Amino acid sequence: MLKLENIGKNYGDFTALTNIHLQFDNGIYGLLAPNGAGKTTLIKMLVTLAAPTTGTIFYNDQPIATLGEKYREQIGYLPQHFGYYKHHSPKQYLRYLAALKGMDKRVVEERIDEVLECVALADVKNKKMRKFSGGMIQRVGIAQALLSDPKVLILDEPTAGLDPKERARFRHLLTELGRDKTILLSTHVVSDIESIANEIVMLKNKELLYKANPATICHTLDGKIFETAMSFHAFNDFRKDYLTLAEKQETGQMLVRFFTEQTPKSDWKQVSPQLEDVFLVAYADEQKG
Amino acid sequence: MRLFLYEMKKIFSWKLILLVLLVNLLMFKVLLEFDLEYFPNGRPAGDDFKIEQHIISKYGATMDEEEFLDLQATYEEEVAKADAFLANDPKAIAVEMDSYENFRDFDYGNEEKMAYHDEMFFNSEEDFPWVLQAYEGYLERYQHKEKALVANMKGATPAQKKRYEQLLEEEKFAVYTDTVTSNFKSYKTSMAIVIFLSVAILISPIFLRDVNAGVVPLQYSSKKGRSVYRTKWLAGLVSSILIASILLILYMTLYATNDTSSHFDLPLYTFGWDYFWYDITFLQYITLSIAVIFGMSVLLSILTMAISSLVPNTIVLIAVQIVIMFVMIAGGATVIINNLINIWYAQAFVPSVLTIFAVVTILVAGFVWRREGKRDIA
Repeated sequence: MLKLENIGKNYGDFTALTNIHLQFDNGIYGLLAPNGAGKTTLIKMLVTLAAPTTGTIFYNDQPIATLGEKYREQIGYLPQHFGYYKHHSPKQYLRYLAALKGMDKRVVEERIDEVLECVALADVKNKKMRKFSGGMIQRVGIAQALLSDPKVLILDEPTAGLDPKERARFRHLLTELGRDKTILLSTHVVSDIESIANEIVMLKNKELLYKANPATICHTLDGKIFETAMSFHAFNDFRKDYLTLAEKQETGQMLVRFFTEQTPKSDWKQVSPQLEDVFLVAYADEQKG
Repeated sequence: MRLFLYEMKKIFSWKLILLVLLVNLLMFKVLLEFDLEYFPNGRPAGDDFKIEQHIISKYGATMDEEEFLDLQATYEEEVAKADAFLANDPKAIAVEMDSYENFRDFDYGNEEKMAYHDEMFFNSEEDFPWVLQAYEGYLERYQHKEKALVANMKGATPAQKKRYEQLLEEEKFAVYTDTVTSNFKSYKTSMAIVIFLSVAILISPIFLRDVNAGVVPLQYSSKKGRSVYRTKWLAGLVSSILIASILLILYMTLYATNDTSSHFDLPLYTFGWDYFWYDITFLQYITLSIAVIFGMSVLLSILTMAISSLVPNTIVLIAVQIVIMFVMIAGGATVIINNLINIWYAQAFVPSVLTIFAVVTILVAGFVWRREGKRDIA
């Protein structure tokens, strides 16, 4: 169990995060926030790449700073920008990372084959990564995070560069792993997590906005999401007054999905809020810039 | 251990090994080869060296009156051979140079005599003009043994003067030429330059390589954590020790072909021209030089690792290393290594510079270590 108590992080005078209280048990947690909201800062503190300015992070009730390598051997981490040696093959690189992870030499080869199979890279395991596509590199990154069979998986933007098929395979993999691991998955792509996350963590203004299951978060917008149809001309005026969440053209008109707290009008159709709606509403001010 | 070997493997990448080999080959051709191929360098150095190899075993480090007379007798035997040759050479007779005395003390204004004299020195297979000139050098050095020390006292610092007086008092005079010592000084300076360059090339990318590849977050979040940093330092240190040792062994093996072992047991004061603060033997001087080159190489590798850890990118690394290499070559090799215990520099100069170098390096390394232990990884 991973527990964050009153976590804050300052860089000089700049406050990146403040007053974060969180607890992660086994399961999949989606860390959802726009770019620059502090997701990566939070993750770096979780993987000991940065120290919190305030508060303490506990793993099984012990501060991770005290646990040191006993904590780090329990985590698998995929950074936002996965680094690698271009002249290495996936197998060579995973061998090096296995040494870093202090893995038993006797099981390394077998485990490397397993994780590369898992991310569908077994057939290129001896090829130099220099010629790999972005998606293939990202899959090597996922493989290394899984290599030591960690109890805690922390993945920063893991689906970046993956095609839809690979994303689907990845989600399936996480669903399987989430049964006996704590998985924290940071993303700004809602579709990556809405179907698989047990809980969503949302950050805003350097603080925790939500930590709840997707349905509960969606319920916060009950009765505030509507759809209506209008002409193109009317749409231009409409969107000045309302926060539009989606729109599409349909039979010469605009079908608009929007958020409002006003009393509904007769031609508005109330719809069920989706996680995407919550995200867009929550960060509407930031998106407007 | 596994990680240490991985880090060593990264340092000794084939690209860097190739580059180090290339630099060594180039520098060997440009600098070192000359001191091997042209030792002793022409005449009279060649004659001096040959005579010294012969007489060192007879006279040792000092020369007494009896030894001087023995040397004089040898010289006179050589003069007699030259006299015999000149007395039977029609060309010598024609220009009235039919004895060595006439050959040596001739009228320089006489073109015919001058032509014959030059021919004997530069276009003849006869060795006597050079050999006898060399012998005369040794005889004159003995006859005026105090002259060089007294001359050096003019303009000397009080400490230097004291040293010259000590040498005078203890009758430690120069008997031989500086053919061997000046060759070794030149050779060890070049050797230091090549070794410094090799260490810098090999060690410079040690930390920046991983920063550029973006693998530091993976390393520091792994079980090993920031101890990886220590492992890299250790690998860097061992690598620099390895490369410095290999190159020192290689270049000193090549130096052995100069065949100067005849001079090994001679104290430094017995070699002419240069004076030194200490009365160590030539072999001890060689050992000291090797030890200082080795020590400076290790310090350079520590400084290089600290720089590699501090700089943000390769361009800055190269810029900083150019400055450091300039200081190491112009200051470290050319001044410190070349003049290790030479009297031209204050007795405390070289030890002070080396101490400052060591302290600065250790302070920088200490700062970088502390910083790395707690800095946030971007």
